[in-house]
Amino acid sequence: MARRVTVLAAAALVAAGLFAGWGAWSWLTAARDDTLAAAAARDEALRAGREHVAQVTTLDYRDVEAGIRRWLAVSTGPLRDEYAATDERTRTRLREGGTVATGRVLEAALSELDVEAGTAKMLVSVEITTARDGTEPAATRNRFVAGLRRTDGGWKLSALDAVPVGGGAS
Amino acid sequence: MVLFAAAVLLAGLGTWFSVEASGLRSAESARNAALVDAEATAEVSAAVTSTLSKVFSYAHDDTAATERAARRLLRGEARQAYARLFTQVRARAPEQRLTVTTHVVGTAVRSLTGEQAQVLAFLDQAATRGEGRPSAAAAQLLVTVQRAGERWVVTGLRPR
Repeated sequence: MARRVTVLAAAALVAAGLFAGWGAWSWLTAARDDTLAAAAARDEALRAGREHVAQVTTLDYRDVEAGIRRWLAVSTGPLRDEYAATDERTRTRLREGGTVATGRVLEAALSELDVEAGTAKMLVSVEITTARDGTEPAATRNRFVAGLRRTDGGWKLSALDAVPVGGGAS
Repeated sequence: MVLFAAAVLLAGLGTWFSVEASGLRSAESARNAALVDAEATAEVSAAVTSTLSKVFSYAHDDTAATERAARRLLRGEARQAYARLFTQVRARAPEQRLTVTTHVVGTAVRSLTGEQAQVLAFLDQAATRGEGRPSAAAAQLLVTVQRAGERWVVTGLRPR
């Protein structure tokens, strides 16, 4: 009797061991699957890209400095250099313009993704509402191609180019 | 007893690992093949580009050709919305001698499964009235397409 129980327990142990081994292998291959990793990178780049584009199309004349700091925080490379080079004259003009611009992303999707290089391109449609003291806010639809680059601090904007009529995108 | 306890422990681990693995594989992110499957992404982009250029381009002296293309390439909600729009085109284009040419200047696939896809498209539309100079306009559409056999047909068109 005791011996039969031992045999049974041993069999159960082997079966459970095989199941655990298979489960571990399955998890490991899923975690290391390039396709799954690429899908995750795509979604993360898109999520970050949408938020960042909304940031850099938003500026309140009452706090231009904070606005530009936010632009710098979400950009990298050439776009960041461009924002960093905003001179005092431009800042004064923005402060005195009396305008509050608010960008809202209507739609966005990636058109290119290179997971290894950590770069992506995103098409994005943005509604920018411009309000000036004493006037009705006006909304415009804008379309951009955004460049994204993966940094130590996550995906950031490396370019943001309006797509004019007849100009062509990627 | 020790053997049983070990077996239960291993079975528990096995269950945990499998749940984690299937979580990774079945997440919404993983089901979306946009850009991950480069070939399918290119194919659906090409289908959307071709369809939009055809159904949003028309000549005042042959609006019927465009309507025929639309009947072939559009389904469901997209076809109904298009039919409403084209009723006006059919009425006005000949009298204004209006010719419209649409170019798709950019596409990006937002989601893609075996059966359905959503594509953001940037369009340029050039309109010419009679001998007048052409005027240009920009449009952005979120296009929903569904697989119909070997082809993709457009089932939704949403201005964005």
